[in-house]
Amino acid sequence: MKKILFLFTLLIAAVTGIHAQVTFSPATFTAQDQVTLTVDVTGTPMAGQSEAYIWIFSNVSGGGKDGFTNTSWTNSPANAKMTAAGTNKWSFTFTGTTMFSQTPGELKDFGFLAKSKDGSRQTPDYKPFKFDPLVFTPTVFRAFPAKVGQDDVITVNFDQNLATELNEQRMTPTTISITAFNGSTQIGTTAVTLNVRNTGSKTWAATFIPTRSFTVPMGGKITSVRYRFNGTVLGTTGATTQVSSGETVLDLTEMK
Amino acid sequence: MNKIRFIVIAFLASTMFFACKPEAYKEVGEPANNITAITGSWQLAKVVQVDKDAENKGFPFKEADLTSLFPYTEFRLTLNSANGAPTTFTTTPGNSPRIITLASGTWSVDDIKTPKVITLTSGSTSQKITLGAYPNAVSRRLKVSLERRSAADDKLLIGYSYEFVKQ
Repeated sequence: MKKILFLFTLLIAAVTGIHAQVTFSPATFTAQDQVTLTVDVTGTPMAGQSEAYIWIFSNVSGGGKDGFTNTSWTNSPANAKMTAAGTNKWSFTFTGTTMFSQTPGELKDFGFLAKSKDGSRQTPDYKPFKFDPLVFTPTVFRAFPAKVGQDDVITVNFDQNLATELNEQRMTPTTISITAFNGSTQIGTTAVTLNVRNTGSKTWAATFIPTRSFTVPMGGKITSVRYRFNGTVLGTTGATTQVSSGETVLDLTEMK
Repeated sequence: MNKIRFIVIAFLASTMFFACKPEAYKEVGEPANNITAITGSWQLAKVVQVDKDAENKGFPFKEADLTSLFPYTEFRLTLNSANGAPTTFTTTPGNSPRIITLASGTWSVDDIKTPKVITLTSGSTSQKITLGAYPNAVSRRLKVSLERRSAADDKLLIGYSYEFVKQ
């Protein structure tokens, strides 16, 4: 019964967007920066508890490690203890490279949860939170500048030399399809299509300004854009076939 | 004989004395008036975007010339002044992205003799642009820049450099 109650609580937490209850100081940080996270555990099994311990892990999508404070689930050490930061709020300060014993190049993101010392209570996972990269890693799709706002000029680049998917390797890109979102709500009903330009040997780009390409409802804002490159390949009969790349999500930064 | 020699020497000495005149240097003149230099109607000629975060980290992709990617050259900025002091401004974007969001208003500077920051004001809204160089005999271009910072932590993320030519 307790297990069912716990699962139900987790489900409610996910639906109500409890993930948004995590803040960071500073707001952006590299794996070498000291950062303080603060989490609001209201609505989780950790609500109302007098102490909380962190359970932290790196690279959520693979290649991750436990933080050095993850020694025993049923007996968290003193250095995993979180600091009270208000009613149902707990904070914890750490540096990525020290916490995970990984290099800045290895560390992409991390996740964590808050738990009781004996592990009988816990919050859902809060993840993933990205580290600002300290080393440049070439990627198939790259936005320039890397951090942009809704009013900025954004150039999205497609480097076919780095592609690992056959259509992305073979295609001759012609257009890009872009959709804009405010949170999880799409702005407008159709994607904006723009022409792409050739910028080098098998490299392509398209440039746009989100607020120029999309009509943002009064009081709304664009928090992310999703894009895919479209193009043609020759089919087995010699006929031209339309194909698209995978979709890439670009989170926008609130600027001033 | 000695008397004649004395008279000749005295004559030559007096000639030399009267030949000496203070050098007539020209007046340095008034220092260049930078407000007057930046006053006028300007047309946008070049736009460069800089990824300041990438620049700080030494990443390979740091800047991009945007001039030909949008009709930026349609953007016009008029700065008016009177008696060497800033007065009003207008912007006419045409089809260009609005690099200055205010259409008209007044402008002021942080230092009237050597301005660095121009504040454009329209009602309760203002926008600051930073001067990159004053137009002069060497370069007649007005260079300004805009900064874009993270609202969360004020970190400088993007810089835009604009070059205007006088109309």
